[in-house]
Amino acid sequence: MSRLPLAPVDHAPEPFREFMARRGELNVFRLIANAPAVCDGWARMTDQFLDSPTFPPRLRERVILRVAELRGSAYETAQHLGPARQAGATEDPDPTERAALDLVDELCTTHEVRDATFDKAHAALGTEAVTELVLLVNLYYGLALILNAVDLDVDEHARLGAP
Amino acid sequence: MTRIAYRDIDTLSGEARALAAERGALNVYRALANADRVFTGWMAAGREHLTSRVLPERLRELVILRTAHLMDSRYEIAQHTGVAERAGVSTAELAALADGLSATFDDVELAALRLTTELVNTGHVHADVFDQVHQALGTEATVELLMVVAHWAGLALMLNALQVDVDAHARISMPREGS
Repeated sequence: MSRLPLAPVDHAPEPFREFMARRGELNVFRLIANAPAVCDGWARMTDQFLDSPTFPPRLRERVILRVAELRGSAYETAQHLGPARQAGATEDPDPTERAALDLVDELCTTHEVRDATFDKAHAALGTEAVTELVLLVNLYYGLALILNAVDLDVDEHARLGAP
Repeated sequence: MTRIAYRDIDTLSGEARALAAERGALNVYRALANADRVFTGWMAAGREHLTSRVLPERLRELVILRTAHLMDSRYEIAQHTGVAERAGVSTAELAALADGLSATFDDVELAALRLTTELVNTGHVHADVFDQVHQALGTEATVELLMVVAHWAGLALMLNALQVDVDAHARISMPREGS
């Protein structure tokens, strides 16, 4: 049972209402809508990650699911399992995905990454994508902290609108 | 030594350059700007945290520095110590944030720091610790506080992963609301 109330959808500030209209009226968004001074920047950040063409959806969803699992976020797992399956992210990883996941595993469990692990991911992805990978981990690692702290209920029906 | 090349601020697109320049063109921004497609969104989110007046600045900086210590981020500590001092955090309090929590923090600050410590260390929070913060701060400020922990815990991961060098001299310049 969620430890905080969820803001009614029509009480959210206008840019955030528009964000929810596109991405879904999810409990997580109604939670963030309680903070009108910071929710629009957060929505803009989230939009950029979901819209970025840097990663194929299969790699992106694989990374998100892995972070969710390592951080024990039932909410992230519930919302991303559908998009992950649809993108083929539950099949065996290819070598590039393996290199990315090794970085994710080390970073989430030790807060550091060894040279060999970083170099492999960097070589497989290039500089722009390895930086975006680290930013993506940052987003879902942080979000898992918020969701776990609030003990947010998984949405009964609403699901994330992601490409 | 950083694991990726720093971008030259002058080569960034208009908004990315403006956001990075406003905050002092620090190494952290020059490193993360390599991810062109998501950099401005991340900067915009951070900017709102630094300009929001929902959390007292002193409380926000206590939470950021406590998170930085728990996540072993030398970079965040280097950049936020001055900000915290200007927000009224004493030298003794700065030391207390590194190892256990001193008696000079007030009850609300202590509750927020206990929540931060438990959340960053275990990934979860006991209901009584959470409720104490919620009762003291209310819903809006509690959500902001959690978002601050999330933002700076995530940033610590990025700084560690990319091994961003602490800036020799440059220190963060705080954005102003609305500008």
